[in-house]
Amino acid sequence: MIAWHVTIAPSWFDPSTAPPQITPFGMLYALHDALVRPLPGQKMGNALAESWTESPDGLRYEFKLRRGLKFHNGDPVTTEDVKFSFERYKGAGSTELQAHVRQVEIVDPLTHPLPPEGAVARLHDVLRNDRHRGGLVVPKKYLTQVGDDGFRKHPDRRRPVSSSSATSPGVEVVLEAYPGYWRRAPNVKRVVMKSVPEGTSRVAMLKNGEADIAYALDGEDAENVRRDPRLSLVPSKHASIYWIEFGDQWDPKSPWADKRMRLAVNYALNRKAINEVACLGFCPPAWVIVPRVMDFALPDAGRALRPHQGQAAPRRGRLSQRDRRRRVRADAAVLHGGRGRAERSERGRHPAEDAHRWSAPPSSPPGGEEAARAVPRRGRELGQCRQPRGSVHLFQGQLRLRRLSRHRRPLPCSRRASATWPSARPCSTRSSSSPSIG
Amino acid sequence: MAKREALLHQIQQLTIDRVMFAPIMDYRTLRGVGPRLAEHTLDSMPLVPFPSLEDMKLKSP
Repeated sequence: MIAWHVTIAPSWFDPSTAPPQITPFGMLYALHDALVRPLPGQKMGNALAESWTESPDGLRYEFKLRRGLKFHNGDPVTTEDVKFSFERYKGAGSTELQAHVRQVEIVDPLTHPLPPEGAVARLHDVLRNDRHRGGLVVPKKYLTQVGDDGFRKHPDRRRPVSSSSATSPGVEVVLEAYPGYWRRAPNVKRVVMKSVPEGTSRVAMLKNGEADIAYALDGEDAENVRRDPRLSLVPSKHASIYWIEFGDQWDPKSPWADKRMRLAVNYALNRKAINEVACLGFCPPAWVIVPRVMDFALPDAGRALRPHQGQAAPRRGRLSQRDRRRRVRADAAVLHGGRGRAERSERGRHPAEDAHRWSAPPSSPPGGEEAARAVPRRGRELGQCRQPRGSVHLFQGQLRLRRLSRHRRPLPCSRRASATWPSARPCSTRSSSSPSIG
Repeated sequence: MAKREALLHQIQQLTIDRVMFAPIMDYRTLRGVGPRLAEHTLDSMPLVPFPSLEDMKLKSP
């Protein structure tokens, strides 16, 4: 079982309509195959194409299919399917791509040349690109019979696993191994991909053996996995990066048009602390928006964006060791209504139930006014107050920390906190969505 | 290739010199792996954060 952090949208089953993100590829690569694509140990390897050639002027590519390829329904994979898939693609960049392809020819059932009109990009790069799915091959005959909607419900393809059922659309997909896959017969015969939007729930499933892989764990949830000796935490190495974009910098009336403002933001960011809190130290600070794992990323970039001596505010955004030790850990235990002992949250029988429950307001709204209390923590009195958007403020005297990761304690605001943050609402709603991987 | 590399470096340097963005961090999504898996294959395909399903292995029962 693989616990996903997002809803598994049916549009992800179809390469022609999947959104231009990396996340749908977790499904697309399970269901479909391409002429060329990333393979173990290779950034780009021959998949359905046994071989390919590029003309000296870079304007003509010829792909030769492997012999004996079959879709799951037994239909042979032919160059007709490749041509059909390429021309059917309607996703991101399709207009530009198809405008630069003068002609798609079929030499024979196994040979398929694609001559691009201009060398705007190397075509095989485009066909395997993580944001482009025109190179994924779908079965023309089957798709013509069932139509686009029918295909998205039951995509038939020739990858190692197949969608035998979509027991709950958007929530769960069951995949069965295809022993005739060209690379090898899969070792695992059945894979269930389940949408589990709540990170703590994914960790709980990992701990009790319900899930074998849990995607997209941040801060506290990842820490929870790291603490468990039975589990392992695996950081990805894919091309993804976080940055702030100054959208108004082009408006001369905006303060963001001033380069000094944008520089001040760069100086104010404590990238190291963000990495430690949100990513457990696995996400290296960035100074340019091209991920360092990509070809041609500028090495050792961005000295100009780093504050020099005396330019950064002291301890900007940094938690001291002492403060960090006071972090309230997220766990499966929660305090209900801010009073009483910690209790285990009751999980539903199905992740969808949990997702639904946790996206709703608490059944017993916290007292807010009357429930002022401090949470004793290691002999000290720390207060905490849930804030809108799911963050939590801790306070002790003048100390106030804002947590970066979500927290799941629906504790009430105290009188003191209400006076300090009059705009803060009593604990009410919480966000249940997690960011996309890519 | 050298020309292409130089051009791409120049574009990136311009974004820095003009302070067009505030880059924060390269994102490494963290995945939890349970004890049943002998080989998770999560990073076997370069730049792809998903497992190579056909290579995945469970531990022997």
